[in-house]
Amino acid sequence: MTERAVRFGPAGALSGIYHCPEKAADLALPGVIILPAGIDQKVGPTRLYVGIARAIAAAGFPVLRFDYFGLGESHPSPVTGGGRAGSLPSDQGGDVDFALDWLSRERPQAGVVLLGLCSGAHDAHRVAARDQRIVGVCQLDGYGYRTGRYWLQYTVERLFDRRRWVNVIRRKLPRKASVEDGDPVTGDVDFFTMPAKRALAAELRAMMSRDVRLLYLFSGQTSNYYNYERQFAAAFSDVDFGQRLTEAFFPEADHTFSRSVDRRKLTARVASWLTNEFRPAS
Amino acid sequence: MRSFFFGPEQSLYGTYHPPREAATGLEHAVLICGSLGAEYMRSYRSLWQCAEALTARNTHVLRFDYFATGESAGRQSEADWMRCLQDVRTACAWLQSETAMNQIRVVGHRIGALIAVNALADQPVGLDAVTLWDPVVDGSQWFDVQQTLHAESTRRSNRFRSRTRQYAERDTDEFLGFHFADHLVKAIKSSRLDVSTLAAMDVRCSLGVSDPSELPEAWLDAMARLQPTVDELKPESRWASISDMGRRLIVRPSLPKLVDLVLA
Repeated sequence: MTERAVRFGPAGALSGIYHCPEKAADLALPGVIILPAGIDQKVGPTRLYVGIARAIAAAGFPVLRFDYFGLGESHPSPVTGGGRAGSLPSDQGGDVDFALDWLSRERPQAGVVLLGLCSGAHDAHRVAARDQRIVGVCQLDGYGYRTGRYWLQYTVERLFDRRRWVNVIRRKLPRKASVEDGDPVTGDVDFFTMPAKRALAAELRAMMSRDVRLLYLFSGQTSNYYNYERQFAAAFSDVDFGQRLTEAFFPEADHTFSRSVDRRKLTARVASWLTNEFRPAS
Repeated sequence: MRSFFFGPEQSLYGTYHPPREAATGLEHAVLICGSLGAEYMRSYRSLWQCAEALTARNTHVLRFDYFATGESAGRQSEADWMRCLQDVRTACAWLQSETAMNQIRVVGHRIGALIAVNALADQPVGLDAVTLWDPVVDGSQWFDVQQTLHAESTRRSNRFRSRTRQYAERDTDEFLGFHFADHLVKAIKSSRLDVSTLAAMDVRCSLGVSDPSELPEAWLDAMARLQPTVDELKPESRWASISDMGRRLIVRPSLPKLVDLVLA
């Protein structure tokens, strides 16, 4: 596998790393584009994307990771002017389209799989819904909708959680103020808004008609909207996914998969999904 | 701006920022040595902005990732202190060769300052000046802070785990999402940014500090004897604060001062 630094987009403003499989390229395999998460640079949170990219490139898939305009090593967009400071990172500046164009030129025969965490997952869906070149989407901590079983599990867990009862009592007692206590560790920014369920269902149906494959992975940090495997399929029981939707739940992992054991499990899951879905059986 | 892989077996990732076409003034070459772990993530864009600002002052700049960090080759577990020092020397050599400039300047940010000074202490040939930007002067102290932040960060994220797995992580080899092998921990803990080392290097020294209270007074007093150019930068990031863990270093308000420091 070789890694190459690339620049693309208007005036070469976007900076990326292209992981090219070493073996003779299997032109049937799609390329993978890893979309930035939040305001992180292309290595991904805790270097997560580097590990994923190297593992899936080793499995034969070419991978492009890149920085959105105004983040990491990319220049601000010459079209919209200015960087992204103060705005939420998304595909609004056409960043993903430039990456798609670049990879499609590099590998004109195959489609593209988009992978993203958090806001990157949101961007992956939005682009996949409108771009025919997308053959797969891997969302990490992306969309999720609560179901009856979610609420049941949620309620039972809380009823039997001693710590929550202790917290309820503590909140009733006078308490010494702490300067740092309660400050959000990851900041209080919402990086994307969950789309309306009905609109999403329509987009998913359209994607299923195009045979787009989906891998939805959730960490334990999505517990406010996802708490059991296959919940996404249950929430969209009116969408015929066939065998195209795969879900996996990593309840021990945090949002950025900050522990190496969680990163390893996640990376293996993504690589095996890509191989199962897109590598033709020999 | 050009990104590329260089060094032994093309294992290091670097980005070269050439002087801007319209730039005037004395030509300089600057190597930027960044920090490690979570601080690498938090300061990445700011170091890029610093490099870009320097190019407007007719300066060649090289930023790079140490082996087994960032975009460079290697897994986190392969990161090694001696290799970090060697990587600084490799990057220096690349910059000197590419720009044909005999004299280069080095900017060390946070633990990057510790690495740069230790890397170049024995071989300051061609080194014109060193800028220490919020330097870590005591590796052991820096590591203690990383451990404390990690324990607090994991304690706070426990609410997302099952009850049986809830605890604040201590005595681990992972800190804030980054693995530090035992030998690397040991090496960092035993490293100091000695003023006597800087004095022996006999190079111009400048110091950019966001929060002087984070530096030991004795060290600052000793540094004063070297008569460095000193400037106080806007305190946009508190490195030892759990509240600031998710925040990026914002350097823009301090950029003009910082550039002046580097090129002083």
